[in-house]
Amino acid sequence: MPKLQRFTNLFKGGVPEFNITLATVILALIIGFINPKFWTVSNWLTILRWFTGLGLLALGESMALIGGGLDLSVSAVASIVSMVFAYLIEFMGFNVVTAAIVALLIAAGIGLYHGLFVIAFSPPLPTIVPAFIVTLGSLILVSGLAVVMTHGWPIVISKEAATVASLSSTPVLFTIIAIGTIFIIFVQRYTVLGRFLYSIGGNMEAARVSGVPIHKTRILAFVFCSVFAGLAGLVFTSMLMTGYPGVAAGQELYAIASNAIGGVSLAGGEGSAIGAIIGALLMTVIRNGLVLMGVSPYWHDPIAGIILVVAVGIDLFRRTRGAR
Amino acid sequence: MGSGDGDRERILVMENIWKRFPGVIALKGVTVDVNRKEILGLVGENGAGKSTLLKILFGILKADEGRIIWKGREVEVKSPYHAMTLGISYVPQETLLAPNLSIAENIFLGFRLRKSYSLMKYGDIVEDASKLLSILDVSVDPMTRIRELSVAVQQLVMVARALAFNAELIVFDEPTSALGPRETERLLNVMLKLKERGISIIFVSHRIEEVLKVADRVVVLRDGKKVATFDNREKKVTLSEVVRAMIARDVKEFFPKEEVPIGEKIFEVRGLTGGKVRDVSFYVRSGEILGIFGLVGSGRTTMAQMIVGVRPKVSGEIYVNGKRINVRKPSDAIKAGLAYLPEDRRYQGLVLRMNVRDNISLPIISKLRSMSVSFLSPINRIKEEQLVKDHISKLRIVPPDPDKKTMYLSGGNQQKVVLAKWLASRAKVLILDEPTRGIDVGAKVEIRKLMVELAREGKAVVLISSELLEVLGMSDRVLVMADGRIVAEFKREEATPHKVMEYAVRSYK
Repeated sequence: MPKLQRFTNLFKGGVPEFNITLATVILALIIGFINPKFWTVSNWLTILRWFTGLGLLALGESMALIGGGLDLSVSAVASIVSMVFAYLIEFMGFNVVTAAIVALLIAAGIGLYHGLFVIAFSPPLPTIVPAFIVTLGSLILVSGLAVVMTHGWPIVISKEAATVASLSSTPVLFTIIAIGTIFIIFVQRYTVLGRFLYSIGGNMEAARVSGVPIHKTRILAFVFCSVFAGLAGLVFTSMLMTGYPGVAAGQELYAIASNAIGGVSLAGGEGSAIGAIIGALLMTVIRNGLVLMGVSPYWHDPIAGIILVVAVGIDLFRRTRGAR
Repeated sequence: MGSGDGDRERILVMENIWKRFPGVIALKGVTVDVNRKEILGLVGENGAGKSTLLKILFGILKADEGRIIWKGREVEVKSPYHAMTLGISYVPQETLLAPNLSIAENIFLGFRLRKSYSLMKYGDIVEDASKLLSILDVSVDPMTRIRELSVAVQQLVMVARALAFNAELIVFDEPTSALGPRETERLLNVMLKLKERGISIIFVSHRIEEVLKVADRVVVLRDGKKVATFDNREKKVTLSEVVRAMIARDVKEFFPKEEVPIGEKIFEVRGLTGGKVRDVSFYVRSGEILGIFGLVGSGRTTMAQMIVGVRPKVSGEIYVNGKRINVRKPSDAIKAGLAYLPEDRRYQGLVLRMNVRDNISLPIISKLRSMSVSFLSPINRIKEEQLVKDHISKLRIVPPDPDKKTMYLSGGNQQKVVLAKWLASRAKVLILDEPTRGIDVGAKVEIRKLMVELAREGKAVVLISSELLEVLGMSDRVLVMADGRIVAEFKREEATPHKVMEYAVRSYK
């Protein structure tokens, strides 16, 4: 392909993630121009903190979405992990590592439960139908369980405080999100699991006929999603130094939005974690920008919503226009 | 009839149509005209420009140059609905009906059922639907839901809809590919009946023999140009003439079967039962092409899918190289060296949103590991690329780009990708279910040549086809299947169309 065509191809959606990266950069420049405080180190540390949590949720969600499914419960899983983690440390004297492992195992168990439910009903239904139902149920059920644990009281972490706090120290946060991103991207693009997942999301029946293990793969996808949600829960807990049942509340929709903006099709089989993570960055930058520009907090959600619809709309338009 | 050509009024003229796409000129100044009360056959290989021409007629695409003259007046067709209101109707290959609604509702959808605030008089539309259906000799209750109907009847519902819109021109796009011989006859008769009523028809199809049975004229497109018009009013035009115009090659190359040394039995099925299939047993030898012919509904696909684990079976044994294998899911079959090329490549054959490379390597991706970490094993991209490139060139897949999403390939090339993926799996036994259906003549020949090559490599090939000439032309032995049973076996020399068909059409219930 001649060089000029390659270059313009970037803009036309040849590499879908390019457009949103560009959008993020431009947005950052605009916000930074309006309020130079945007460029301070402390602001970028704030962005990093928000971004890590949302990013982990979005990465996990991308696994569920690419396989043709959906996970609405990620915020609830983060909550229960947060509560269990804090509980084990504070009331049962576990050390940080063991508590984290147990909490993540619980998250994995929830993912397993989602996967089993989905494969029981799909085929013949498309994956997303039972996925929507079971994860919606979990969203409510698991959040409820997180609250039931202490009748709604948060668990302040006083034991092992230093270790717990270090989880959200800047270098650790950076490492977590960097490794998480690289790992998920690697799995999706370079491993057998990734290939299976894309084929199932693209055409489950053709994948089945080609010998792809459609049940095991989807279960794994849901487990990945929940474990990453659990990791987000650990990060949030560390940032608040509290086990809190409302942690990440509402974030599941932002996680899905990050994916949608990032080009991960909600129909499955398309997009990648690269897009998801850039989408998460974009959403974080937007939120940060709104705060810096002094926009009333009540307006944050509506504005984020509008941006989401516009961004996804542009992407869909670009994709369907290719049919002409 | 009596009057000369000069009297015949042309109801449609598509004049000097040019259409360019990035990288290819789809139509190069094509002029096609249709007379009143005429059936015009429109044939040509995939990529010749037929579907582009139709899309322009129906307003889905806009021509770069040229005009459309309908009933003597130049028109600009804005949308398929607009075309319908003008009197030009379309019966596509895949029926566009709402499966959960009834026949009557589908016929009048968007027509009398358009003003959402007006009350519908159900009785009226049911009665009118009945009248239309009886014109077409269909005696099904108009309140029946579409999903309960066979494909053949669904098609006739679409014709009824065209009649409801007072169509003066109906375009049939590959209408017979999913129909069996009896249903095809019925449809062709319907076309003749429509012609009697004064409706013109454009019959687009790859089934040239069928087109020649009813068409008054046949137009051949090739590479975006009109290359021939045949006058077929006497029904004397031969298949050979038309095919030669289409592919500019000799039709003897149609069925390129060659003698191939046949060895030992490498595949055997015994007592296969399940669904409508009853106690099917057969064997295939190395180097052999076994043809299985049967009408639609005879159980061929069911049988094939049970063999490879796509469908569960009730009983039956499968032997590869004399060893019994246990097939419970598709990956068992693949591991044992079996391959199944599905009848419906878009549904079961390819993941259209994935590129050629990922599709080809899918069945054996777990064998292309560079390290073994179960599901998280990284893929050996180098081995994969080599494998994929080899198969792309061996099968002459066009464009030869492993990154191209398969949904952008033509039907013939898509089929080649499906074949490539099963060849890459190093299968020893290949079961090909309608491998040349819905693809252009050139690609059909290529795939048949590949079948012979596979046989020459010592593989066993099972060719399931409803194209009688194909089965007879390509097979070393022919099995006839009907009502879920194998009812006859013929050696290549003994098989004749008449004998085979005789067994195929009988009832064995």
